[in-house]
Amino acid sequence: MNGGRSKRLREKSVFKIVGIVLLMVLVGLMFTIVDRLPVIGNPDSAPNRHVSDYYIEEGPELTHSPNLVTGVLADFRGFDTLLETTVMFLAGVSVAMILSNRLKRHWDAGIFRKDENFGGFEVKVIMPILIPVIIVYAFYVLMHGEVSLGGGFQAGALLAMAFMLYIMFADLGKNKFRITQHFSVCVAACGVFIYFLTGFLCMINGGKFLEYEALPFSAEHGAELHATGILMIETGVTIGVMATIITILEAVVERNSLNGRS
Amino acid sequence: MDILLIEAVLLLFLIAITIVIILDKDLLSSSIIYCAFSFCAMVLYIMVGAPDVAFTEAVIGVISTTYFVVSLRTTDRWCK
Amino acid sequence: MDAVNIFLAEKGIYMLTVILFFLGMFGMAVCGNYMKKLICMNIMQVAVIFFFLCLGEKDGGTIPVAMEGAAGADDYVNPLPHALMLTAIVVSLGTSGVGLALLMRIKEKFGSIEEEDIIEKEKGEEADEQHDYQ
Repeated sequence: MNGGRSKRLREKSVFKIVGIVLLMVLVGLMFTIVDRLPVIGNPDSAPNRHVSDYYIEEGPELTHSPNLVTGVLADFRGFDTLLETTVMFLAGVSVAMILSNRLKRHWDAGIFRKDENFGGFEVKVIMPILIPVIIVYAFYVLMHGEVSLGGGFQAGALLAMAFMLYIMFADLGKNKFRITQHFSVCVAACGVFIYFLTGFLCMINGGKFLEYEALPFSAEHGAELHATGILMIETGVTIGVMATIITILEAVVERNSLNGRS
Repeated sequence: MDILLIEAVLLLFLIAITIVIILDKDLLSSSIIYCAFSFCAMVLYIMVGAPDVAFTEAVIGVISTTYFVVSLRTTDRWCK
Repeated sequence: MDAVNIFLAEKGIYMLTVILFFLGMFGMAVCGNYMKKLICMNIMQVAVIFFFLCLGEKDGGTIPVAMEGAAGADDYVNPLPHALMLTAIVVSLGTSGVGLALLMRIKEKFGSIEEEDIIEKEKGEEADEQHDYQ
């Protein structure tokens, strides 16, 4: 028994030494290739030409959004963002499928968390002031995402963080306001659906998929419809991201309670 | 002070934090140190000129740390 | 001071990024605990994202929000890598979530999340099955 254990320790340290040697060899190899990469800060290097100039110069007029990153993300490359939101939704669905338990029927009122809460009197006074401020800030970031920094992903994550704070300190035995993982997965599907709906609305009116100039709303100039289209898809992204984050959190916490380690 | 020098110092911080995470035996403290790693990465992204990415990294770093800490209830806290 | 700056701009920052990436990969290969492997995966992701972002830097460029007075393409930092990396960060959060869900099921089924214990347990199960057939 003792001989086996010391043999395992020797094998493990041999693995670590082999690992360190391989690491140095690979790092040395990469150091010799680093010469061919472009110099940092050079405006003439290969990634800074060909298409970025067009995005920077024509972007604010064509997409009606001074924030160039949101313009690229939601207008020039809107199809990429659609599929990324779908990938987030699929991650939420996978977690809900892996961590739900049909034998114990835990979506009835069986799951409860222990009565001891996190924090004392001060936390219970400050948090009801802090959580509405975070929610209002999230809506500001969503609406203002075209003009200044922000966008859909940040707003969705902020809303999910406000929900996390609420779960940590509230007395959940008395509250009727429950969100389970199965419900929030459906909400994430609604978010992705809103994104697809915007694309199809453009097609109904005679344009191509996600061509914002063909939206069936009235506006003075054609470029203002771009702002409306960007706002609609950012709303879809926000709902999708928020619901996926809540899904993963609720799935992990419910599984903890099922195992008896809440 | 040039920006590149500050970036190099921040990258050295990140490498030091990585070594601490690999050598630690307590998984709870590794998760909390991962939150510090995310914070240093956020400052690094601001130095490069990407405040949108820094905003996203700040929020997502906190949420990721929370996931690691919450899932430590079911799995073990100490590793060999 | 100038020589240090030029060295950093051409090679130094890339070298440090490569060291960070391979340190993360080393941690993933050598640590026996699955949770630590997940944390090292996130460390590798930060190195890759920083590499992408530093390719878009420009000398004297400002953040990519349109201001009055600056209209040339040389005045703004390249916004294309920022848009790609934004979605990459959010998707990596989903990946970590799915990984942690799988870890919880592994713990319930095998009893531990250390590599060696799981390999021994699987060898034990295989030996039991061969015994049954004989």
